Parts: sequence; structure tokens; C-alpha cells
Amino acid sequence: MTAAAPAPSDTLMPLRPRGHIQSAPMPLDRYAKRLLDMIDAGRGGVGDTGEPAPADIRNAMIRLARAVDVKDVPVGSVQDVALPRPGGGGGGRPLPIRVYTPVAAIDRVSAAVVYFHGGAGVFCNVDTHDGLCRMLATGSGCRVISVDYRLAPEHQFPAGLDDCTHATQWVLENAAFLGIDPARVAVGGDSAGGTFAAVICQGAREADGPRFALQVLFCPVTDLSADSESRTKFATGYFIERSTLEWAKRQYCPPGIDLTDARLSPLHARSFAGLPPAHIHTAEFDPMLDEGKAYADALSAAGGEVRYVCHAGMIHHFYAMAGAIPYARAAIASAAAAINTALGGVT
Amino acid sequence: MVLDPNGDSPEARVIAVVQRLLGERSITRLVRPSDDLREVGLTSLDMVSLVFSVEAEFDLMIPEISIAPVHFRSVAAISNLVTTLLHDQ
Repeated sequence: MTAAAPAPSDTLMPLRPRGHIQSAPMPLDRYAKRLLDMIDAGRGGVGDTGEPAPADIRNAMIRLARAVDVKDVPVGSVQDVALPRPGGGGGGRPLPIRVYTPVAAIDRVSAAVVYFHGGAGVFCNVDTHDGLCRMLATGSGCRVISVDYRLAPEHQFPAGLDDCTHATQWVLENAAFLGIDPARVAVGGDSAGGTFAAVICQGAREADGPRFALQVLFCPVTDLSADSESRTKFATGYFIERSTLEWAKRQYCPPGIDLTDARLSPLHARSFAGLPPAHIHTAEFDPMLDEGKAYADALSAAGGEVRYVCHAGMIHHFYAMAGAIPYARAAIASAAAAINTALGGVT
Repeated sequence: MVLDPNGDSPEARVIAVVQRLLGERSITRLVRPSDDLREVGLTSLDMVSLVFSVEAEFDLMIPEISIAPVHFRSVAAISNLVTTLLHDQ
């Protein structure tokens, strides 16, 4: 179901993926709950006390991904590419990207999704989101380009955003070389990566830049400046803790920066008109639920084409834990099918 | 009960799993069966890795009801749980 634009918010109903039709809120998915129970069982250890070091959280997320990511998703090819950075940014180090080509697109031109992983701008990388990108590529028939952008606190805002913008630009400029139709390029991301995707769409509009065919946002962070009801309601015990979010914000944001800057909080943009069509996914038990929905509502109210799905019973980051939460596999397959419908896969 | 081809006891196999996880955090101390795992340096996120690693090691699924602090407090507690689950299979 696509909410035709402009749609009043009461017609912008959460989509229930097939087989999961219900109108009332669901309890936590049993596998999501099982995962939260595991985290809970380990709570209070010495490993959790004190101010975490970025390296500790990064390594913990890498180990988590090893335990809960899907590992059996075949894809046509996976290539790591190192992009030169313009003007010697990033200390002259290249910007790594990973190109996933689905079987259907080998030796053919396809649409593409330039993808930015989540991790609050501080942790995760292309490896922690490998299963997700494989599933998106295979399910959509599109090439997926995952960007290994720089992380805070070593590289605070806007370094990661700059990397993602640069990678997106590079993909558009090298579309022919990559086998991509430049008219069918989407940007996408989850959590803080969803912020990047939304901000890059807004930035392209401001600069009269490229017109993206689609933006795909999974549980995006769209407002760092305020505490929503869901951020309060799911502050502890729902995978991503408020204390972790606050800690990450301190790593990511330079001191004194205005948190309502639309490049940090795209929900604070002056206008939501003229942006690409959007597929926005939220999770029912996610601190970022309200701001994801608010962004969908804002785009929709401004006349944008929005497909909004609230995944019942789900938690933040579920899309990257499909090895532990079987529903995630179905949800990503459905999200990927919708991308295929919007972009067309292979031509 | 599934016998390990190497003849290692469940407890020895759980210790190996825990030691490997700790090794990934560059913690080299030796874990004894009765040690409180919260005190040897495992984080709450590591507990997810631990549960899935134990499930893979013993080829079983730990039911939701058993995912509780009391069963994962120590190597001894985990191997008791695993032994019970293997018997019930």
C-alpha cells in the first residue's frame, strides 16, 4: 500500500507485511524478546561499567554481528573498492565502499541503492551490515553500494556525512563503469545511516543536485534535539539504551553545535517539499519510532510519495540481526521487493 | 545425550567457548567453572554471542524461559543448563 500524496496522517497507516495483519499493537516478537533477555542476562557486569571506549563498543557490535547476522545469502558478486577522497580529506586515505551485485544484474545494467550503515556515527561498518546489504541486493535486483564512512569521535560530524555524500556522487559519476542506470539511483540507510540518506536528499534539493529515484530509511534518526515519547518509553531494555545514545551523541557532535541543524536532525528542515519518494521503516519497540513516523508524516504532508511501514513487535537494529530474528528476513525481503517495484531492478 | 567426539565434558566445552569470547576482547585470564562471568569482563552484548555460541557448540536451542541471569552466571550454571537440555531432547 502506498499512501497517495498528499495524505492526511490518519490515512498513513502502518503497513503490515503479508501474514502479519493486525490492527492492535503486538507484543514484542518472541525472538526479539529472546535477544533482549540475553542482553539482560549479562547486565551489570564489569564490562558494562564506566564510560565505554569507542573501540570496545565497535568490537562488541562486530562480535554481535558475527552471532546474529545472516551468513547464507548468496549474491552474484561482492567487490571492495577504495575511492580517492577529494581535496585529500580523511588524511589522504581512500574511502572504502563495497559493491554488491545480485546474480540477476551480472553483466547487465541495474538500478542501485547507495547504502549507509547505522551505528550512531560511532560504530558498525560494512561488515556488520553485510547480511542486510546482501538481502537488499538479492531481493531488489539492484546493485547495493555500502559505504565505510569515517566514524566519530576520531572524525566528528560532518566527516561521515561528507564521506557518504562523496561516495554517492562518485557512484553517479561512475554509473556506466559500475553498470548502473544513473536515473535509478536510491540512497538508503538505517539509524544514523538513515539520517545521512535523508540529509543527502535534502542537500541535493538545496544545491539543485542530483534527483534521487528513492530514499529508503530503516529506523532513521531524524531528530537529535528532542526527547520523543518513544525515546522515553523505550529508554532502557530495548537494545539501544538511552545512555548509549547520549554517549554516542557526545562522540559524534562537535561541542556547541546546534542540534536542530537539519544536517544532524533532518526533521528540522525548513521544507519537506520536492524530496524523492520515500520508503520509511520503523520498529514498534524502538526509541526512534516517533521520529521515523514524524519524518514520514512530514514528507507526506508536503506532497511527497511515502511508503511507511511500522514493523510490529520489532526493536531497533532488527534488520541487521536476521540470523536471530526470523521476521527480519521476511521484512527485508518485503522492503527489497518494494525497492524493486519503485526502481525496477535489471533492465 | 550427545557425546562430544573428543570426549570433552560439557563444562570443558563451555569454558572453551567463554575463553574464546574473552580472547576476542584480549582478556587472557583463565576462567574457572564457578567464576561469575560478569566479573571476568563479559559485556551484556557479549551475552548474546555467548548464548548463540553455546547453542552452536551443542547444536541446541535454549528456550526463552531458560534465558535468565541464573543460568548464565557462570560456566557451571551454563553447563548444568546444557546438560539438562540435552537430557530432555
